[in-house]
Amino acid sequence: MPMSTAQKAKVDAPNATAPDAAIPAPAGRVASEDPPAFDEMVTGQGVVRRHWQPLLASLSLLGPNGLVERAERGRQHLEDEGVTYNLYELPSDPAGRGAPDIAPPLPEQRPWRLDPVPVLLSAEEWAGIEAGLIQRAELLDRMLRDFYGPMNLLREGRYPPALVYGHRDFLRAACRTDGSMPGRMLQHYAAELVRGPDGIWRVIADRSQAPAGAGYALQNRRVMSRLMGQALRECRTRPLTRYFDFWQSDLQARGQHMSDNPRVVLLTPGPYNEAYFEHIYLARELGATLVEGADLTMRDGRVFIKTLAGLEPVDVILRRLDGEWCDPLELRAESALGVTGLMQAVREGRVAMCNGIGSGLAEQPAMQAFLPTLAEHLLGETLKLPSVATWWCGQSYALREVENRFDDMVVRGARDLRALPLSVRDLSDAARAQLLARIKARPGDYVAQERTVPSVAPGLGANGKLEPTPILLRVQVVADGDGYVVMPGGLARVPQSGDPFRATMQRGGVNKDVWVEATDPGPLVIRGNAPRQRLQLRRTSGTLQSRVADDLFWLGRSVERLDDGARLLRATLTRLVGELGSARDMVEMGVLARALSRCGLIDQRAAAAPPDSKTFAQAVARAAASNQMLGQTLDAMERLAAVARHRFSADMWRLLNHLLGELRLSRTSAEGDPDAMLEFCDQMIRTTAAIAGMLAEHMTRGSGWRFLDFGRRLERAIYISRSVSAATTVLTTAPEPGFRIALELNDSSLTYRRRYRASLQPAAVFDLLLLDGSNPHALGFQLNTMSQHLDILPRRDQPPRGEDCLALGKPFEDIVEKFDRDEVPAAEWQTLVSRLRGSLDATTQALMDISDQLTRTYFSHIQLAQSFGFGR
Amino acid sequence: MRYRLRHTTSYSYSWPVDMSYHLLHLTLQSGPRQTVTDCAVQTAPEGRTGEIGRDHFGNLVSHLSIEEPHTRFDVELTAEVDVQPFTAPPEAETPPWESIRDLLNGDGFPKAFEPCEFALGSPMADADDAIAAYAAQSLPPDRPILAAARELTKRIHDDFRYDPTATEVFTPVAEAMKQRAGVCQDFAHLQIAMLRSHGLAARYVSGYIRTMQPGDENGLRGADASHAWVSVWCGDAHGWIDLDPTNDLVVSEDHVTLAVGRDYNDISPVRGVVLGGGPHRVGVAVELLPLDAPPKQTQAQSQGQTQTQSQSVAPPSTPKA
Repeated sequence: MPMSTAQKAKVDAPNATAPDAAIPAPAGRVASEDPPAFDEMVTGQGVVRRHWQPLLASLSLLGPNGLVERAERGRQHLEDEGVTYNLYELPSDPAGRGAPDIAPPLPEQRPWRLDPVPVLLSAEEWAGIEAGLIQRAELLDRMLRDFYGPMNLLREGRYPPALVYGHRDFLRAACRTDGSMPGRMLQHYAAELVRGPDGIWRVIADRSQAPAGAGYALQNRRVMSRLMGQALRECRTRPLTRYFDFWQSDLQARGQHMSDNPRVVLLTPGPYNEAYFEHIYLARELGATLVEGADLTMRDGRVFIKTLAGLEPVDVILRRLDGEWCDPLELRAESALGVTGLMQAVREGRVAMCNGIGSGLAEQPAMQAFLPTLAEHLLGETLKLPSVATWWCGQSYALREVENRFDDMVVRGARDLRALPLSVRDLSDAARAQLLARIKARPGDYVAQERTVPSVAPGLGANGKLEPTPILLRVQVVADGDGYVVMPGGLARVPQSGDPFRATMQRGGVNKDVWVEATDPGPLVIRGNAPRQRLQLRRTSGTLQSRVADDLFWLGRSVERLDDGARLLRATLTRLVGELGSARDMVEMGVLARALSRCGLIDQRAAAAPPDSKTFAQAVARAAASNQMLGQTLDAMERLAAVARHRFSADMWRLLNHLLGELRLSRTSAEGDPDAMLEFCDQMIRTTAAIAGMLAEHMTRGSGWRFLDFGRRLERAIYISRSVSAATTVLTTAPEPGFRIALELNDSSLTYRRRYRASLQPAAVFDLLLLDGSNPHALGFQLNTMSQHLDILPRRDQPPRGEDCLALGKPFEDIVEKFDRDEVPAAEWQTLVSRLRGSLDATTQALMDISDQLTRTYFSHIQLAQSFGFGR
Repeated sequence: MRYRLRHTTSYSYSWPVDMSYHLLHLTLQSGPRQTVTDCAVQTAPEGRTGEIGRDHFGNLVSHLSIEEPHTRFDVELTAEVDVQPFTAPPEAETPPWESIRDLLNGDGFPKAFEPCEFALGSPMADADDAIAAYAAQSLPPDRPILAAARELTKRIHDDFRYDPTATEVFTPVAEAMKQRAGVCQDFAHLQIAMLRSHGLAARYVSGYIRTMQPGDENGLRGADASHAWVSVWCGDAHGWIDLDPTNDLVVSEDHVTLAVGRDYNDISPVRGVVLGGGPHRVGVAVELLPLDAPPKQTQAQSQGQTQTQSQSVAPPSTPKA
């Protein structure tokens, strides 16, 4: 990247302080010679354009207050849906991920901001954009295929070799070396368009790597149809959904030669990528399995997905991972995001890759300078949709031109779209001179583009008033057999600084839906897909990735651990904020302290302090801090829920997101304050109950649910063993408080009282807590359920087995039988109690072993690779 | 000169590797100055080998995947190859370096589109200011390209210390420049970066150098492992000329070429990604034995360069790679 960070910082500074203000031009140059922006809605004569009229009618019916209310509803809806993009610094690593074995905190998630006032485009002007983009996609695809094939464009002097050979996205491993032409490389593509003061739409950037935006556009439309359904119909807006049908069929078609029912996967860099939300969304919309590189493996030259049931072949990969990260063997060796050997499978045609690896090359800004002649040469057509005027400084005539009109130029890296552009006019004299010197030193590394003033469209301003806001379109194109189709509409973005060159998804800003007027006056019939083969009825989806199973298992454990921890803390805090005094209280507090320490909720030092000491009280009140077990469990739960998000329905996710958000809000205020902490414990218990109810009610009983529930049962079984074991420590001296606290900690006091009234007897207590298969808080219940899960999961021939779980309950049957007498002699009592404690502690250990076995059996192929024989 | 070549690489792992994938740049091919009569690459375990393909630079590559647990991986290249001697053109006959630079630039559209790839930077041979400044001393106006490149070869040989402990495979070229030390890979990268920083085209060549024989007076450095040197583009008439900065000579019949790329990373002989394995050890052995009579003293002298360098550096018993 040619621009130094120092230089970037210099330019960023004025924008950072006043993002929307016009930047005052340095003295000595004329400030505003820009022509007025084109107005999308109103003509120069002040007349509202025809296609905007129905919308304006609806908006005036709604009134400013109505519009504000819609905007708020939209915001709420997007927040509930958890529509976000992840904010991160422009990365060197597309996943924003460092060492693969350390899980960094999730990047900051920004809410998706949607302006309820759409941008409207008439049928006629859309027809021009559509035809222009279809041509452009075709052109870019031809260019890519030539660069990775015969290289005639370079050989014949039609394209500068330095722009290909010197580009980091020119992936030599993807080159055909027999001079043949590769198949289609650009399956989907997006263009950024800006309309200048002359009313002409121009392309300002091409996105050919893994263009984002299609999913966000569909999401926008779904929200808009709720907010402005009436207007949407009255404006005769073309629907977006068909675009995804085309996309899906094209993906399927690409795998057709390998399988009748090709398996399509969407390869994502993971939750750390800025558009992870969209990856989940697209995978669902396109019927693709969402996978990370670690979910895939090579066997005998083919790509497979690692599922619980074993390996299943993959036919088509929809790639959301930048090309250079796709294969550590042939591309970037340090990539932990790709699949080793993938490049060779692609080369041998054993998996279809969309877009082709190396397609990022067509994003280079310098390309725009050569498209008109290339369109003539490759397609025999004139370029239908112009680009913003572009000069590649690697040619001496262009460099002269740029120098002559330097003030009108925006300078950017010739090859890399990711480098931030500089508007020369906004630079100080010294910075201008410096920039020019740098360009002259390495002219081939720079392009200059003509400054442009984007058109304005009405947007929601303060108090529901409409205000003109600059807009930029992102339009999506996808292959349809031999041709391309364009998504009718899409995403309009309001560049934060008003500078269209510097608007990127990562930098955020407000988005608008784009409504394209239908041409046909008849009803808007949506053609269905071509008839497909009848589906075989199935009761399982069969493809739980091992990694996802692992995440769900730990999500189950985290939810339960949170519930157990909250119960234990609540029992302690209730006593702490009340009056401690009686001997019975002190006995119970002793049990609680031991249970807290056994569960890792407070450290041993605090647990050993007297229950009425400050040390103990502080430790309890700080138990949800981020360096404590419970705090870490909360963090883990949020992370796991985000990672496993694609396994939940939209409604479930909305609820989960909401509940977790509430917990996050209360958490900090609870820290250190016993009253607030008690309140927070109640909230945690309510939350886990809601999550449990949601899971029970809405999750399909597939392997995913089984792993999640197995995690919960295992964690609860461990908790029961630990808490009852803590209670046994007082059974020889003060049995009644011991029994009472054991029942309370396991939410069984009420059941016990219903069955046995007030009389506390060991056999009855332990039967209820350890053996009873009908008590969901009994150890026996957990063991039974775990055993059932294991019997149904695949690979029943390896440990852990169902019978291993059931066997864990056996020792307790015997112990309860021994207790079940009118009178147990004191000596025998002591022996029995210590036998019980021994068995409980052994059970805890055995349960942890089962967790390890489960990991080895089902998740073991998640291991790290190492590489050698590479340079840097 | 006719040679028999044997190059073995052995990896031993601390614990079993479940799966491994390798990319081998280990197949010799015939070229204008060498004829390969026999070449075989054998591995243990055998694994699954794809067909031998060609990479972007025209080198022969093979893919190997081993999908069974193993604690050792051995790969052996054996070949017989004939190498023709090469006599460099008189330096004064080669074009001035600026004319080469302008050909490669061509105002954005160079006629010499193939060599121009090697005039651009590459990850392991990117020049910094120090490298460019060092090279500038050898590039006064109008100097013939070969004279300039040859002088750089000699300066690197004289100014840089041969020291296998100074650098590692992934040491950046700027670091080797700072330390004024390295091995053949660093010297090749250095000279490549120097030439490219002034718009000239240079390639990285990996290969082998004749193994010393008892009684050899001119021990060549780099014989115990794979060797590396530089190829400089000297214009259409003279094409690529190979120079060995480690031994300060014009490459003739003492070198066997394995592969050509922008830098080491393009053509690393054995690349691998393994699952599991833990820490590992690598052993490399190379033998390039002449099958004809030992090289005649006159031949080495006729080149004039090998002779001069042998006095100025470490004794021949410590070969350089």
